[in-house]
Amino acid sequence: MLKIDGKEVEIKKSGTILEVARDADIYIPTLCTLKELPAFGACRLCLVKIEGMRGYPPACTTPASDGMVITTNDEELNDLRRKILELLLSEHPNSCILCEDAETCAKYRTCPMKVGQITGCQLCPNKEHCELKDVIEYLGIEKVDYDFEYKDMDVERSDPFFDRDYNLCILCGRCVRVCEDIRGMGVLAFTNRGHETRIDTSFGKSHLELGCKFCGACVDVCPTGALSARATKWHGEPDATVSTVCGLCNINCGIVAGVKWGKLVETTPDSDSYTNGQLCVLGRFCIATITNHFERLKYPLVRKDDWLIPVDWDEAVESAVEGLKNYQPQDVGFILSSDLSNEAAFTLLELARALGTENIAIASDASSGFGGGNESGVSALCQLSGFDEEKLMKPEEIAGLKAVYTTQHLAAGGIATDSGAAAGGVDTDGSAAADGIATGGGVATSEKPEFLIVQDVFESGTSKAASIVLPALSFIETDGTTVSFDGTLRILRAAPEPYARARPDWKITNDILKGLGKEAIFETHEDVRSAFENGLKELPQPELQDLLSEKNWLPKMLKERNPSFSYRGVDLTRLMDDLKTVWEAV
Amino acid sequence: MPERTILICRGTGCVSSKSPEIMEELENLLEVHGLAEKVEVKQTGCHGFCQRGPILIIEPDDIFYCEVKVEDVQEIIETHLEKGEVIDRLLYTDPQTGQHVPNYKDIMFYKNQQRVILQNCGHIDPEKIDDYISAGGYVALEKTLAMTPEEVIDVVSKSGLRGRGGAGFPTGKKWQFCRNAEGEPKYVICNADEGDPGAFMDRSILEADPHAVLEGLVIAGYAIGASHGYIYVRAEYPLAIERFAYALETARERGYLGRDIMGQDFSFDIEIKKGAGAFVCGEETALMASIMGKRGMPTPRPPYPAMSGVWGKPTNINNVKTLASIPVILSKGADWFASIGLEGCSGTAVFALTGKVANSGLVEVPMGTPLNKIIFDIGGGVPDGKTFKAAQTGGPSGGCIPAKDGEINVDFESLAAAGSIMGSGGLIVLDEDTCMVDLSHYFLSFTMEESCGKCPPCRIGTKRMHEILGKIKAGRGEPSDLQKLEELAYTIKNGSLCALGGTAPNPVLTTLRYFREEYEEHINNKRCPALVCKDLIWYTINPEKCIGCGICARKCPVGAISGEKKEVHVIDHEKCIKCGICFQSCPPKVKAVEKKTN
Repeated sequence: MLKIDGKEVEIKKSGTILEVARDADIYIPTLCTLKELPAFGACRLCLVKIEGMRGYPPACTTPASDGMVITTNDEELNDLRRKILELLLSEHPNSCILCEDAETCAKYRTCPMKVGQITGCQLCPNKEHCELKDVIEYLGIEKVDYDFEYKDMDVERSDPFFDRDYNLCILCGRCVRVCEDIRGMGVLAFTNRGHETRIDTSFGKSHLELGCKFCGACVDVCPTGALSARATKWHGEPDATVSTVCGLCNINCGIVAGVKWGKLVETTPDSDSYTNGQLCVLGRFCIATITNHFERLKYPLVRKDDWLIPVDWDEAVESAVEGLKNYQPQDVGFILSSDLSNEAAFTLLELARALGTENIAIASDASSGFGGGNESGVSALCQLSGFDEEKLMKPEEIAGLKAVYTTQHLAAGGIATDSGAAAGGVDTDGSAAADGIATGGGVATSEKPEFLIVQDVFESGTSKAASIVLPALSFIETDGTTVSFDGTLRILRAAPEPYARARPDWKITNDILKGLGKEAIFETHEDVRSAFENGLKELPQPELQDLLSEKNWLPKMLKERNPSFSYRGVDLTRLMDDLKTVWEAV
Repeated sequence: MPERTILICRGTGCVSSKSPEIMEELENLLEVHGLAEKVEVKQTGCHGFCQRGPILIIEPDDIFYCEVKVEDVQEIIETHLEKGEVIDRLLYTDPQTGQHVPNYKDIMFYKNQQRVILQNCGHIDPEKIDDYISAGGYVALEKTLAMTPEEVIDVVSKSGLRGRGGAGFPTGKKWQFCRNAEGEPKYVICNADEGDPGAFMDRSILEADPHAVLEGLVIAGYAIGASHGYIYVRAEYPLAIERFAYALETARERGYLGRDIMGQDFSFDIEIKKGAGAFVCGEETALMASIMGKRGMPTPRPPYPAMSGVWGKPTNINNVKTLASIPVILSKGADWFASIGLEGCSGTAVFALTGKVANSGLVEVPMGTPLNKIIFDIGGGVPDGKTFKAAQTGGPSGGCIPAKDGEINVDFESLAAAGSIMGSGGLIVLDEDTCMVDLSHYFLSFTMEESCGKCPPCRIGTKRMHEILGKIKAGRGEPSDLQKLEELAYTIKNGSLCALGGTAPNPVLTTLRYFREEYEEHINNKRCPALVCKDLIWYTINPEKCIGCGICARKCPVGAISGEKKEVHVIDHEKCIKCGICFQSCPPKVKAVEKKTN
């Protein structure tokens, strides 16, 4: 039991004064503390008074002990805090907060000018969630009594994905600590000394040269606009956020998807998830870009006179149904992408069953990284449907059949793995791969399927060779479930509005099932889920408790290997130059 | 047995003024003169009187020769050693009486000191362990090992020894904390990161008497229950590092260090860690971070090093002088040590006396000695007929004591009450030519640059303070600036993370306290009474004194001085850059160039 501001507070678990106060809903201003990071004691805003102790100890590093009598909020402390904050503000552009017109300005001149240098109110990428601003408002600073000193450092933009404007840096050291203590990388450090102290890399080298993996953890902990994601920094606050999981690899990290104007603008780590608020470069910086990418498949296409012609969904589904009817079951094969949701995979397996074919393959992504977004789920569902490892075919075997229904591009995942260009994970460009599945790949060179349905997210060599193209929504645009590598079923939630006329995978397949005259078995994705959920629960679970109980298990794993940079067989580095740069460096 | 011993100082100061060459010449010529058997040449560490180096003492005559040159060696051998005559011109001249003083025991600089920590400095060869042993070395360690650790701590506590690094925390208590702390292994560290500009006590001790520090550290290790010690020395002290490393080696050979020390069941070893020259690394927590290979940045306390220090283990850190006091305390007894100095503040203090003082060098006096006694009786007062204005104690983190308070006792409490600190022992004497605004501006530029940059009060506060002082110096000060300075000082002192920030405003605060009118002169009347601040002074040539020699005109780098030969010269103020070369070059008999302020 101790006393904070006259209130009796119980020490529930041993910790610092700050932690105990926060547990008791007592606010103490701070800028350098972050619950995930070791205490640092640098910003000097959480200074408190403790009876019997000299001076003003910081709440964030002083252990709370029974019997302490602590003052956290009086005029003497707030005056000292204001003076310290004023010093920070004498070097941090502050007109966005302290200008007498700040309020009206924020309201009426909302169009940011995209200049590199931030000097005033409209030019900070962080203006809507500035922690500095919060503290200033709490302490009530109205003006700064010093001549403003702009540090005038160049904005660093030469590394991929994020910009660094150290003119806005308040040296809280969060980025340094997260990089060192949580990610185990140590790319960032304090350099120089005295007033010239700054955050930098060793010898001023680029992040790339120093092995930075661009996980973006530094950007996420920055309390100011000093570090910002280049692609999204000018978007401002999203209109809505959705908690979901990343579907690019089988770890399925928790993400918060930010949606603005109906579109996905960014994804940030979800600190309440089992990945403890950490992501990799894909989850942090790539999802929004690839979701909005111009190489997305936009409308259903049907090949007519050797041209792929946009058609409406009814026609596309009908063409698929009619096409499939032309083949004997043994001539039809299905390729399941390991990036499919459970719902999508399950419906596809239903379709195969309805057609009476046993030609099923999984285009696995397990050879590199952590497997496809639903590697565990797709193979579990196959197993439930009686397709265990021995019974499953290889994607290249399926590709040799007369009629093929694939849910991903085949260059990196299956057929073309033997060919030189595709083996390295670098997709051949569109035109070469146009004959793709036929001429580009090793195994299937001579035998192009007569009838090829491509249900996919991105344009690819495979989609260009298709008879019918069915545009699907990605994991961030559909509701569904996925099974992560730890065996847990996780929920995928649709965040942005659907892209163009693309539809959820399960729904497309379901429509084909309907077209084949089968019972319309599913109305909603929940229906699909209830059909397989119980079966999934009965499968044995991997034992990963030891691994997952460690707080920083994800960064540790990511330090040893990288996730595969592909989604539904498409090499993502082809879609994003920055990602390509990172890939080449790691 | 040789008849005479020549002690030649080979501390850093004397080495740089060629004492090794003198020693070599001595050895050669003694050979030539056939005196090699009769006269022993012995190198020693620093005598503390570096200003007059190279220093050479001939025993048993106790003759003190200073500012000796290689060319003087022949004369020393022929006149002193062969004929037995003292060479007058190489003797020390008393600045007050003008008399030559042959015996070093009569020199005011030495006569008025009481050397405890520095007792061996200048008398033993730091590279010979036997020299140290014959001066009573390692007796204390032997005694220690016969006692229990608690008894050792008890002796140290009773002696009243307080940390000599500046904070003055009772050493016995500090040891006890660490001994009581839970955790294994424990570490003891010697802080030899002497960062104060102008201070060189720790370096000199390490160079002149490394075994005393080593012995002190081993005793500390025994008392605390540590098996590993570090000495953190700045890399700018190569000679100290070399001598200490050699001392470690010889101590290990003799069994004073390493496994089963002196045949007892106690093992302890010491590792040297070199610092990269950051002032802040003198701060305990920053020092430990540096030892662990991290950036030297302080961390808040608690946890204190005694609980969680190097590698998260209980750690005890003591200054060089503290540890050098330990062997004496144990061999001569706590009571003996406690009888020196003041009650509650026993023992001696070592200062690096510099600035505008006739005798500068290392000075050791009992705690509580009046400031004036140090400056006048040991330092010989202010030279060139100038007046004593103030003394800065504790380096850039300290404050100044005005001449009117010269009777102040030099000890932790008295200095703190005066707004200054004891610090690690810098003592700079200032005369009338020192501008106090300029002085605080100078000291602040040091702390500003040496701030580790971690916390805003220190990193930004010192910069803002420095800017305001610069403004006042430039004649652009405003009356509100003084209040602003005081406010900033309050913020920095109370808001900073470590003692670097906590003490950084001291020079400003003390000068504001004692010399406020000087600041006001700068601000209100745009004058610099001490004629220092460039923007507030100008140079003129007094027409009544100028003899038209033309020296100033020739030396002026910007051609601002004109005048015919043998006629009065004039300075063109438009061109003048106030470099002061004319002022310095005008012949002393003429003194026609004058500095002026409003």
